[in-house]
Amino acid sequence: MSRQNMLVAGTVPAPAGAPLSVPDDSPEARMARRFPQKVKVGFLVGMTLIEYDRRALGQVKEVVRTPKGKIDLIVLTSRRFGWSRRLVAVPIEVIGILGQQVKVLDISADQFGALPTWIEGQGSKIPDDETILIALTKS
Amino acid sequence: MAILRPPSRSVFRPKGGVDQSTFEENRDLVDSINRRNVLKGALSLGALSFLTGCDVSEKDQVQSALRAVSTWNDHVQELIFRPNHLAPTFSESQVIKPARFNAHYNIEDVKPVDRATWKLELSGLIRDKKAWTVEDLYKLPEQEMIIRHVCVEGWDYIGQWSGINFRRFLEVVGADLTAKYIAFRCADGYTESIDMPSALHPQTMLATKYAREVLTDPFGFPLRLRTATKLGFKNAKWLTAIEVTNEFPETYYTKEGFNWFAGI
Repeated sequence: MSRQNMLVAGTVPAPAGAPLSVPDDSPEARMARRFPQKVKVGFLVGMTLIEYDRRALGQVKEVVRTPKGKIDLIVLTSRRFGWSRRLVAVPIEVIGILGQQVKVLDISADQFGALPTWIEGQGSKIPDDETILIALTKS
Repeated sequence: MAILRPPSRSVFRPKGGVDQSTFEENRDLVDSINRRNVLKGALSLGALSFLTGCDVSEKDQVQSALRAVSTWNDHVQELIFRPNHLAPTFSESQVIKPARFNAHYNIEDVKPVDRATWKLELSGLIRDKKAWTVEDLYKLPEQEMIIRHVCVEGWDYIGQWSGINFRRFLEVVGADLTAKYIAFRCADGYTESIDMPSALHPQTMLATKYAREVLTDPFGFPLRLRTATKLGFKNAKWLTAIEVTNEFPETYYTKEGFNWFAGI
């Protein structure tokens, strides 16, 4: 699943006959509605990425900026996705932070497991002392 | 493959095995147990054994028994509370930023407070009931503490809060410090209340900042209660009113069956 497809997957299409003005359900809009807060990149590195029922999906290894200027968390998948763990890129727009963990909000565990393997060079590492924004979530 | 456990070697184990009938009859209820439900008054297998004589299928009887235990717990906590004993404090390097958000609804449903129109209303056993603006509050001396926030859900974190020492605030407004309770109302309709000894504890404050920055919207801007001696849900956010009273103030969560004192 590409970054673009992953972000689209969480988008709710407007039903037929819907009024012209519908809430913006883009990933960026959803992130904005979750009161994004400042966070140091270094604080995110090493965090466990969990899904809705608190099961671990993997561990954040680094945070990168894509050639298009977007931010991805590079996550080492947990062994539930296979003994040979691999790195996958998860867009920051589908992530929320709760204390010392991060949680996927808009993709399922299956979709996470189907992410393509991230290859070094697909983004540039963001230094640990840089501050970015991340959405909030709760248990 | 299930791991088979050998039978218990305890000499106290009944020769015919342990009667499983109560467990089987209430399997659905037991399966629904989680930490919050235990504190809300749901049954635990251990608690079932103490309800001899109660018909466990009668919800009112069971809830009444559990409420009695909860009330007893509150009394014991009040008795053992040490009003001048300080909770542990921590170093700045342990503070997490941002803080962890929680509420009885999702983050998307947070409704920010309008700073321009916000006021803190005072009522009850208080001599000076004038309403306070954000600017009024910022003029008071600031206290800072780095303490552990403990949630009833079983998680915690180290946070850094600054604000007005609550005892100092109550003295400034001429509150009756011999009254029993302080009640709080919040912009989102949430209500809380604490006992006066906890309100006067040195580590109870009306917080205006987190990690030395003004509280942001999800964390209670412009004002929240911050105690070091109570569970997280007692630390009401987005305060709009404070009342000093001798009448027990029901709260959002006592109506749900939670403990009221909630000491840590």
